[in-house]
Amino acid sequence: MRIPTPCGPVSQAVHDHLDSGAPLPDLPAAPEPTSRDHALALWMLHELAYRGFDGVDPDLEWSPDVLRLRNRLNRDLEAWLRQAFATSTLPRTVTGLVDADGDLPGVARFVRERATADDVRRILVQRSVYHLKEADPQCFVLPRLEPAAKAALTELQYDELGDGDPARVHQHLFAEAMAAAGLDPTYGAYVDEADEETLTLNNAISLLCLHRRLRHAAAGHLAAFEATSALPSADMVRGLQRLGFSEPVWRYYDEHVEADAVHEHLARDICDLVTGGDPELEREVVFGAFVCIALEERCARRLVPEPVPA
Amino acid sequence: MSSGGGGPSAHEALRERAAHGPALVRGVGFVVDADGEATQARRPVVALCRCEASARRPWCDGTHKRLV
Ligand code: FES
Repeated sequence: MRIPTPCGPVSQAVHDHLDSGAPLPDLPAAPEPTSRDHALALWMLHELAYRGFDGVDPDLEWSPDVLRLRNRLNRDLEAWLRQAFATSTLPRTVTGLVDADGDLPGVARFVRERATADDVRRILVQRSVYHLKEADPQCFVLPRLEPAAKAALTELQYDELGDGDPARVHQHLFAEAMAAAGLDPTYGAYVDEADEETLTLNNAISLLCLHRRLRHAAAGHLAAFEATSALPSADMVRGLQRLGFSEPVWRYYDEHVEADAVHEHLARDICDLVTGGDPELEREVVFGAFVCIALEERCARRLVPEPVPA
Repeated sequence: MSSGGGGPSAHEALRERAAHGPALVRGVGFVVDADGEATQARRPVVALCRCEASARRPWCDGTHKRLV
C-alpha cells in the first residue's frame, strides 16, 4: 500500500517522516482525537504494525519518534473514549449494549430497506478499511491470554481466518465482494476516502488490540462485534440481493450469518475467561463493548442518510 | 413458566429454548435431520439451532434473539 494522502499538519508530518525521513515535529498542542488529521496520522502509525507501506523502512515501526507520537495520539483517543463511556447513557453490560444496538437504525437495515447501489458502494468503501484486515488486530491479543482464554480466542480466529482454507478467509471473501461490486479489492485502497469516523473506529480496535493493558477491553469489543453481526448480516444479504448484486458480493455477509452465530458464543466465553469474575476487569470488558457499539453507531450516522419524510 | 395447569405450552417451551440460544458442538461431520437429509458441517465448531426458527437449520442464524 502507498502512504495515504495527508489532510492536515499531523498527518502531513507523519507522511513526510515515512516517505523521506523528515523529522517529526513537536507533539500536537491539543488533543483532537476526532479530527480526520489526527485520526489519519494514528491510522498510519498503527499500520506500521500490520502490513506497512511500499518503500517505507520497516524499522520505523519501533522508532522512538514514531512511538512517541503514536503513544500521544493513542492516549488522546483513549481519554476521549473513556470520557464518552463515563457520560454515556447506554447500558452497562455487554448484553445490554448488544440489545441497545439492535434498536439503533444501523447500516444493515438501511441496506435492506432503501439503500441504492451507489449507497452500497459508498458503504463497502468505508467498511473495506476494516474488513480487509478483519481478525488481524485480535491476533495480537493471543499471546497475552492465559491458556483457556487463548484456546477460545484461537478457535474463533481459526474460523475467521478460513478454517485452513485460504478461499474462506473472511478478508479474502470481502476482497472478492469488493471486486464483484466493481470496487478495488486491494488492501488499503480506499484509506484516502475513509471518513474520520471510519478511521477512528479502526484506530480504536488497534488501540485495544495492540496494548496488553487493554486486552480485556479488546475481548469485550470482540464480543459486541460478533454479537451484533449475525442478524445485520442477514439484512445485508437481503438488501444486496434486492439490488441485484452478484453472489460474491453477498457471500461475505452470508458467511457471517452462520459464523457469527457461533463466534458470538465463543466471544462471550472469552470475556468470562479473561475476567475470571473480577468486577474491575468486567468493567473493562464492558468498556470495550461500548467502544464497539458507540463507534459503529457513529459510522452509521455518517453513512445512513435521514429518511425523506413521507 | 406454565400457561395454566397443564405445563408449559409448546410455544413457551420454544421460547425457553430460544433464550438459551444454539448448542455449540465441536467435531461435527454431518447433521442428519428427521427426514434423513444430511447437511455437511464446514467449520470445526457449529451452532445447532434449538429454537426451530432459524432460516438455515440445522445451523443457528441468530433468529432466536428475536423470539425472546
Ligand atoms: S437457536 Fe434457533 S436461530 Fe439461534
